[in-house]
Amino acid sequence: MIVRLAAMLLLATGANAAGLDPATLGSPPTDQWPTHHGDYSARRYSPLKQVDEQTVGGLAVAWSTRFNDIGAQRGAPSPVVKGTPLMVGGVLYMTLPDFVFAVDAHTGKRLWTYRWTDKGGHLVANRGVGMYRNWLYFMGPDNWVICLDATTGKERWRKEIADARKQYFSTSAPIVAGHHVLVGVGGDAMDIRGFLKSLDPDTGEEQWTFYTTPGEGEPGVETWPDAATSLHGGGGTWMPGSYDPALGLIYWGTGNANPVYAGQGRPGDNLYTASIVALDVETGKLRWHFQPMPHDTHDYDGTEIPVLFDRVVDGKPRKLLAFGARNGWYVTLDRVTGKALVSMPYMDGLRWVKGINPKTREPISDRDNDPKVTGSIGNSNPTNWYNPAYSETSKLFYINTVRGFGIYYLLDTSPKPAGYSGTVAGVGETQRVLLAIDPLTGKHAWEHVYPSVGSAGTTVGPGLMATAGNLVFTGDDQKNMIAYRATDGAILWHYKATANQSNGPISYLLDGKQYVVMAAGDTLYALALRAGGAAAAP
Amino acid sequence: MHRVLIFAAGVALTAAVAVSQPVPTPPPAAASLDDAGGAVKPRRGQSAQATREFLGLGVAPDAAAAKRGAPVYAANCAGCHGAEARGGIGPSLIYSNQVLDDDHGEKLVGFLKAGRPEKGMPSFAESTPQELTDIAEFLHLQVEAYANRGTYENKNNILTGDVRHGAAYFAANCTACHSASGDLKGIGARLRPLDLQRTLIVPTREDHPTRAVTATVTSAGTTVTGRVVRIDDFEVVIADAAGATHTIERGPGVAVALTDPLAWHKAFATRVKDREMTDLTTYLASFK
Repeated sequence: MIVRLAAMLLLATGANAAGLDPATLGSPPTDQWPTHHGDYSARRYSPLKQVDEQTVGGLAVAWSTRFNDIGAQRGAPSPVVKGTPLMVGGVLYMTLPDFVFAVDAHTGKRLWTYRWTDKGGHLVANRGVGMYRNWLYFMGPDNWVICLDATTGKERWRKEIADARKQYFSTSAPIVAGHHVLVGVGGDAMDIRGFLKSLDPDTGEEQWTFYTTPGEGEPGVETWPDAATSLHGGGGTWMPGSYDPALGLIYWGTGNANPVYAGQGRPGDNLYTASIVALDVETGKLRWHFQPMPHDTHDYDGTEIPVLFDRVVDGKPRKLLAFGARNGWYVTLDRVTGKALVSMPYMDGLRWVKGINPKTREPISDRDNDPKVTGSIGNSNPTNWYNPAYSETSKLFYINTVRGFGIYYLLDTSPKPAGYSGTVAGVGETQRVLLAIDPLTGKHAWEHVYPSVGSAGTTVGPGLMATAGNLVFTGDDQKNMIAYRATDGAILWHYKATANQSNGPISYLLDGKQYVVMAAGDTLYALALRAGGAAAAP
Repeated sequence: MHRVLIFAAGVALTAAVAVSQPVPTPPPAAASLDDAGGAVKPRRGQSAQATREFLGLGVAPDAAAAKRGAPVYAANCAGCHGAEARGGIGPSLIYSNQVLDDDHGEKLVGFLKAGRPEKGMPSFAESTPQELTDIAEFLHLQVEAYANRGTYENKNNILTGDVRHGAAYFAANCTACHSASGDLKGIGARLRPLDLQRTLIVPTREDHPTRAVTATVTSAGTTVTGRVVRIDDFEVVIADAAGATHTIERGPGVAVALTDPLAWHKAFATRVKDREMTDLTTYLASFK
């Protein structure tokens, strides 16, 4: 420990002035946005209020910059920014699959570009980088964790954490929690065994691995027919989680069970897939779990971001966790114990649920809604990877959702199905709805149905951000970036971008000015109040 | 249809909008990919190669070699590893390191030659290199068949419902708008069963102008009615009966009333049971 401390001091003095002071990680983000969520809580809440419900009408593009010059990537003719940039020391660090860019936050000019040459993996997205002192952590699609010098973009080390030939692929943004770089994986096509790894930020050396499906003799294996099935049971960790430093716990959502649409080979709840897991950050040991989607047969996953917030409930201060699962189920949990305060649908018309376990308050999924050879009508994913937000101003939880249905067909009827093993045909158009949920009751404080005569974009964002200006930022699926009044959902501002907003917004103060930064397609937009005073709010 | 339209208007007014314009291919509402937006989504069954590339699955197996390898595998390997290599008394091979690390037999041939005698896996040293390569390709094809969902084809027989139940359901729920001898005559001959099933839940608007969402927009004493080309929170674009396009900014004093002729079907999708859908599909498929 003494040696490590000495090394850290040495590095601290040797670090570039633009480096990130680890002591500020976890603080409310003001003059920087140093983690995926801004802080560790994943509330996506900015305490800034220069832009507020009075001034937001004057919000305009300060600069924008396109990334279309990288050209087509495998399966993606033009890039879509889905990652959240970090902003530290006047520099934005943003990503696309295989690319990291350092961008001057004053002008949008590129300072350096890092390009990774992958040997496989799925280029569906990259969610961003993690940062520790002057180092960045980035995941290549083929499961390499790459450490870069933030000043130069030069590689420091790389480490492979999973085999792309087994269809593991990586899109997540590493989360730096204490002296840990937390990295997860995705992959459904070949029935992976999901895991979360902790790496040493200095060296990349592995500190611990938590497998999301249990091995022989481990707790939870009784929810599978046998360990061999569990070891190919899925449970990806393809989104970042959250962290409570005081409790020393990290919270992660896990992916769908595998094989994806065929459950006949894996009767049981299939722990810890499609679950929220609370792990000891030092050891990776499971502290508790809650499964909003037992025995997932719809590719619903549970990889949404657990949002940590504190409230006084019945006169007692409580440490809570809000979670809007991809299957349409909402929970508020005590994040110390994992016990539910609220457990109920956030979306009407859920077809997969047939009751609630009276003991755990987890939903019970209906086997009659499993994909069938003759077809089964099921809910479209009621949400997806795009991040929710929690406002300390309105005390509400915000989530973008999708109403719609598909007919789920089981294709692989063998007793040992594999891979996706089924398919889905959409019926009718889907419809996007923004929900504001009171996390102490689960009731909708307000909802906004996005008008459209087209379907909701499949699974491109956008994420949300709440600010102390009583605002919520997000976008519709017709290229409008929108600011809502957090308390009642009134639309106060919008801006027509060149594409649908596609990532999670961030905000920070730079030279005394509050910026809101959002991406739409291949373009990053930095928005600020117009010089010479704000226009009156509408 | 008229009664339904009135009902639909009421629903649409209160529920804001849940509507759409012709959609050439209904979207993968429950996308099989976790997150595929912005990327090329190869259509199922059309492009195994595109999906292979999109997923980063590596090189494609040699189909001709795999075909030659099928009987060799069946004769030599299936006894222990199962007909589709998913395991028997021996382990499943579709997740095997040896198989997944190999391309075109480069590593597998040597492995098969040596065998794993200590684990009961015999040596195949007497087989020809060609036979062993063919076995390797056969195994890669088994992996392809499950891992590359671009190869998936829905050949399910979905017409296994009860025709009498379907007829009764139809009589009770559908005849206000539809009839077996009228608009649905011959529909079982016109549509493939899978398309028929999707259509009966929510019909496509493509090539059916009468199914388009319409709007009546009232603003400063004037009223415009027509097909909605586009609508968001800020603007509505309408094509009227004469073909003229009206772009109207939304705001206070602008009332937009939407009518979705498919509102009944959208509500139906929320309540119909799987069994009823199957019976109804089977019944309608009999309208030849």
